[in-house]
Amino acid sequence: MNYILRRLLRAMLLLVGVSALCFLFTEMAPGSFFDEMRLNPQISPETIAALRSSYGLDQPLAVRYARWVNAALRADLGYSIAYNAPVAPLLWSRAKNTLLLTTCALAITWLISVPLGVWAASRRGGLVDRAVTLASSFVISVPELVIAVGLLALVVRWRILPVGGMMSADSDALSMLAKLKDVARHLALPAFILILCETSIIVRHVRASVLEVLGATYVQAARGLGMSQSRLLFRHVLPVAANPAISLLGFSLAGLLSGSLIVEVVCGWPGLGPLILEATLSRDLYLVIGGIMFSALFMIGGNFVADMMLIVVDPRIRKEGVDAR
Amino acid sequence: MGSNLATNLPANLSNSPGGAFRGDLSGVNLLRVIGLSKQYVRGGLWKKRVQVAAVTSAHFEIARGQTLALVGVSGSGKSTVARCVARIESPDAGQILVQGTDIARLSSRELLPFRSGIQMVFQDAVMSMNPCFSALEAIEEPLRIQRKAIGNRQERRDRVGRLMIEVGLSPDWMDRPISNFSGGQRQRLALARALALRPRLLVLDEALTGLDVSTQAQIANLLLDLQAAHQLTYLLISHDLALVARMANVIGVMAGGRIVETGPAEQIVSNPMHAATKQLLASAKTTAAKFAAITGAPS
Amino acid sequence: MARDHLIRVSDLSVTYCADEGMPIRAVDGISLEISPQEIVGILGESGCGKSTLAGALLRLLPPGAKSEGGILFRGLELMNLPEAELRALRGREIALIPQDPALSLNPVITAGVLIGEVLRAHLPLSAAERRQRVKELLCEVGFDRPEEIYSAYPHQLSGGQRQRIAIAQAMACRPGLLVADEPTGKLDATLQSEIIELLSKIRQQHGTAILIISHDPAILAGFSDRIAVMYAGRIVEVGSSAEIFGRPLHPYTQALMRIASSMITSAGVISRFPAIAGESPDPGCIAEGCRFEPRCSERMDVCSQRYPQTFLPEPSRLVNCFKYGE
Repeated sequence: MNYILRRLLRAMLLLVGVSALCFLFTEMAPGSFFDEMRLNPQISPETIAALRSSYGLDQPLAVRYARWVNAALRADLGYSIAYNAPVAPLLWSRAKNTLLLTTCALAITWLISVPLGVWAASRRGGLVDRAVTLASSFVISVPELVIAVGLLALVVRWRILPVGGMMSADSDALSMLAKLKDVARHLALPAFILILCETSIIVRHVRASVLEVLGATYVQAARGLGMSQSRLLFRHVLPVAANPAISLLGFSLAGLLSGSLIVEVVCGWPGLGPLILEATLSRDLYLVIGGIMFSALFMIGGNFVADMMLIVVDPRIRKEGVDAR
Repeated sequence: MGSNLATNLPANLSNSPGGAFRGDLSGVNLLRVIGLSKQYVRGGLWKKRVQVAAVTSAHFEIARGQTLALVGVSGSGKSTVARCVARIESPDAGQILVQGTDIARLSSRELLPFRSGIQMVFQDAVMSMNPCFSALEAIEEPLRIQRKAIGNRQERRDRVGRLMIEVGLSPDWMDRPISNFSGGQRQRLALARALALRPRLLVLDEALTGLDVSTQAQIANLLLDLQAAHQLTYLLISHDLALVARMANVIGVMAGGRIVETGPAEQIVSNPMHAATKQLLASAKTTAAKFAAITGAPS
Repeated sequence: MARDHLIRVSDLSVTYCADEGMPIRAVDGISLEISPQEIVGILGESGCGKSTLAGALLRLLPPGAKSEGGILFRGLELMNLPEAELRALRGREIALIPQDPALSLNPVITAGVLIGEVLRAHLPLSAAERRQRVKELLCEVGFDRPEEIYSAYPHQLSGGQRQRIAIAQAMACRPGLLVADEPTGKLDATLQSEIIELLSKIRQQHGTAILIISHDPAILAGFSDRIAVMYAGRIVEVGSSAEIFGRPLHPYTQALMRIASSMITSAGVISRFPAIAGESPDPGCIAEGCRFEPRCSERMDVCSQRYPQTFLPEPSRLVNCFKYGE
């Protein structure tokens, strides 16, 4: 129990740290939302100053941060200047889409990576192993952006899938089932790109950790006692290999998130990615901070889930938890 | 757990009350340890701290050129004493007097001049040296750290070559990577490295454990030869009382983090007082008896 | 075959084919028999091929190792047995007790389940029966409170306790032969004798034959019935325990016994241990003659010219040394 509490506390501290850094960096970044307005002779400096103070931007950094934290605790992440709307609902409407994309990609990535990695490792040097190693190193060596743009071009040229947005223009008229299908077809391309990039990394890690455990003395010893190959793999190797793999889950979420920001922009998926990009370019302060906080929340949440899974899987960590009582 | 071993027994039953042996060790003590204690804190920032006493109030002294052996079962705290004496760890309490200077609380900067006087050799020579190093690099490493790796290339190679000859290795192997040396040879390398700084005290932490019997004999002989040649003082850590009894002048028996009995080797073997000593001795004697029975009377 | 041997190894060789350099012949033409209920000790230093021999007996060698010769176990030639049948044999008929108990137990499986897994692999027992058997086994290897140990993870146990678990695993299916590869190598002196006693007891109770591999004659003294001395991949001397300890014939054995006895008698401080000069040869480059010749104090001209054939100075004894014939 204590272990979980400690993890939660750590997660909170992390969020505080991230938000503080965000404020600091946005403060240090040159320019502000009102720079363009200043160039416009029709808007008087007084108006701009009034606008600034209405958004609270004339206050010192510490005061702004304190206000923001205070509001954030009540789920209010400030006000977007560009959209002229509260940040939280704005972000949430986009975050839902990002969440849909990343969780789909995450689930499928792991569904592919684990069996493939285990298969490759158990037949080391075999055809599957060599194919997996070769293909994954190819995908890893090509930048995500290039893969995304390349696949997009292919899809557009061959008209395999709809591109841009998350549903067709006429989707309102469709039945529930057809609607779902429509979303899935829009989701397919960005998800595929993410899965491809992420799987190529995860599968290598899974393979490596299974290989390491397969070579361990206790696996050799179990072999010497006549365990069958499949029993050995599933009962003796996988539970041990799961530990590094689960720790990786948290990291893979980070990879997916940063990847999804790029992929969303390229494929026109209406997620956080395009929103944060726009907000950054227009220096829409609170929207940027809110977007980053959302991403941080996802990641910390993912790591937390991974930690919880580790407790279930690894008795050594469970023991540590008991000790701390 | 083991501390009740010590308390159960009246102190006067021990060979030397108080645990410190003050015998006929002529001359100045090279090393004198007074009230050494070390606790490990488990836990950390978020976890409840639990203090585990590894060593409690250890006293002992070693005269120059002599060997003191600390024996005990694993977990009895003997390695912690070794690590504190070599100042790889800092003791929580007590004094470690090296020729009269207390090094127990010196900072790592202040320790540097003393480090060359005390060197440590570990059980696993492979783990204590970077496997990518060549023999030359491994032996020269402490010289480099102490900024004593002076001279041109040939002088440095000569110096390392002499050290290798001294521990019974051919200087021709100077450029071989450590991974190419056998277990016994690696232990020799570790000794050459420890000797590079011309120390007065060698802390040998299970340095003979895990070696083949014939290699053990070779390394033990090498240690004895080096001791005679350089007036070296040894703090020998081992779980093997029988072997240690043949190499050490004084034996300290550890149990539960305390030195429960100290005395000259012959006395410990012939007249053990403490239960822990008797237990260690019993298993050694059983083996010796079996061996004597089978070698003495072939059927 | 005069007697009924449990296992009969004839002219067994194992060659490791490394990618670079010469193939290494770790085990070179070894012949050895073990009778039922017999304890045979293999005495040899690290690198002499004794662990490879243990692996070869279980037909469990790393890829790249090639073995030749014959291993006849209860009339079954193991060398041409398919993998599935070998698997059924391992743990059921021949079981391995590994060297380092800290490494040989799976860290995420409890001790009870680890033992149960062996039963599960070979015997058709229900879960409840298995649990019961495991508890009996735990008692058998000397645990007073099997329930506590049953649910303990390896990291919660001491080195000696772990080795007992490994022995319980090996004994789970009552095999005919235990292969113990340095079973006490990583343990304290006190624990060593406890483990050896346990193995003695097992042989007495169940009549299990044991092949025990060790570098330390003291471990084998009073425990093994017969001893084969290995040097650089070959057996150089075989005899009963009393013969090997009492009247060793091969100069290597003789030297080894002198060293061992100097290390166990508590006869006071000495300034020198008896020792053998030099190192055992690199298995990659083995010379023509006797492999011990460079380190031998009694070497003759013939020793460096060819390998000494097997002499039988006494009916039950084999020795490969020119001292006993030409």
